Amino acid sequence: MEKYTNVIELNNVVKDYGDFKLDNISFTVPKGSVCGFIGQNGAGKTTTIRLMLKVIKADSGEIKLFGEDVKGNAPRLREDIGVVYDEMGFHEFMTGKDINIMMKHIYMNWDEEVFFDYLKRFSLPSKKKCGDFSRGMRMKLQIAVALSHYAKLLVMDEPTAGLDPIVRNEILDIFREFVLEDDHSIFISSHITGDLEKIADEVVFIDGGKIFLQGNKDEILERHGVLKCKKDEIDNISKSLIVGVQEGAFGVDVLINDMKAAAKLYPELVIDRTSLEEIMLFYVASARR
Amino acid sequence: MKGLIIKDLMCLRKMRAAFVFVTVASFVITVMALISARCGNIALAEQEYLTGGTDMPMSPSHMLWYAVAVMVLLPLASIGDSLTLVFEADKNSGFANVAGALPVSVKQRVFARFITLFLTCGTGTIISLLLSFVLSLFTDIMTFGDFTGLVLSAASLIMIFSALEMILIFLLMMKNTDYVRIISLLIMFAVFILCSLGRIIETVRAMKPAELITDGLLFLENRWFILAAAAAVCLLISYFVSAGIAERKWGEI
Repeated sequence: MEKYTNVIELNNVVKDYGDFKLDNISFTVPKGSVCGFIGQNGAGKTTTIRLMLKVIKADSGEIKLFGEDVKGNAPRLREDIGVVYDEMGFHEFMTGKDINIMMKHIYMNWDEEVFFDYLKRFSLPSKKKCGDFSRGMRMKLQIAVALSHYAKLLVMDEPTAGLDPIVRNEILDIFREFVLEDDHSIFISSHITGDLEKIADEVVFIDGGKIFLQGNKDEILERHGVLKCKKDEIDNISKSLIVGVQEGAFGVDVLINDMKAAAKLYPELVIDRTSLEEIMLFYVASARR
Repeated sequence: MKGLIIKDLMCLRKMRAAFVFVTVASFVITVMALISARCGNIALAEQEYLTGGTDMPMSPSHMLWYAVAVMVLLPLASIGDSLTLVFEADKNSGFANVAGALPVSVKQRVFARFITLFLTCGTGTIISLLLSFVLSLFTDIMTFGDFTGLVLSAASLIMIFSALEMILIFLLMMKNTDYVRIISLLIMFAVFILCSLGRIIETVRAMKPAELITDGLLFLENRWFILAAAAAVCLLISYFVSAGIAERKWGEI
């Protein structure tokens, strides 16, 4: 089980709900990396995560976790996965102590000492009902659970959505600490690209159930740029470089997919660095056109 | 899987107070009634009935028998419908997401539900039997054997009811537990009517509906093993159907 290079592997995965289709999804997450899964609400992020965990069944395609096919192995593989959802999912009457009692009879590697240490660290009272917790506390409780059974992979669905910047930063610090271990990986879905920019090594962009861009985050940010020009200058720019165009009051912003080539070809034009958010917005807008 | 059973039992913790109240109240009321039947007003009424000084259609001790039978079953009945409460609690909290990410197979999740059912129903049965034992010391209306038959019959009926609920929840994907309860009750009622249609028509024609209740109670006291066998069959069918459907519709439990 240890001899794998990709902690997550999806090959041509299809899930058709009729009104929504996850269409031939393929991507990999290398072992030891943090992968950001970026897309707007309804893009297919949660469905992909549910497929990965084999909570729902794919219509076709292959899904591998830790180098093993999830078919027939999912419950065993989930021993090594910590999952954090955007909503807590624990019963509101449950206290930290109750959750500990439940989980120590579910996970083989559950460590109650680690769990209560996390509760202490996150200032979560172990005797208070989790229904009385704030959103940030609920999220931290889920993270404490996810980290208390020596998981090698953290799968998170919008873990920072709706949290204030201070709590978000605290949570990102916990994730950074988690990936310090060589074989620890994180798959984190979010539409808050700022968080992913801070923490992710790899990024996968999804829209309308289709992956439209994936790769190393730094390479993607280095490659893409926003070229500023006038409306009449667009026609002079090579079509193969243009991802999308956004017209403004004072000119046009053009997202280009090869900043170096564009800088050589059009030295007179200004090319600014871009962000993951801008990349997402331009790609999604151009796909809709 | 053990953790899921513990979680289910935690969901039922809020029923504890109601269960203790029902058990204590039914016990106290029954003991008082039985004491009254020995040396109180019910005993006087019985004497009056026997000397023909009243036009009551049924002897007071016969009515007491009905009442004691109901009271003894109240603790069991109060926790009999625990299954839908657990489903409801899971639905309200969104626990299905958490459960889907746990290292537990779908079959084990369904099995855990059945174990919870056995545990709650078993607890109710044992407490009802203990009550019965104490009550049988106070009265000659029913022997401990009669009480036992009655309790085991009621436990079997609750098992059949829960087995039906499970099938409805998994097969028809019914989310509204109120509908599940009502439909299960209607099915059981329909089966009862079909099985005893001849006797029902007979007692209605003879204008003696109390005889039907007496027959019913005698059946419950003496033929509990028929209901127990029916419960075992229903539970087996329910488990295999529920587990099969849950596996096909991953993530939906």
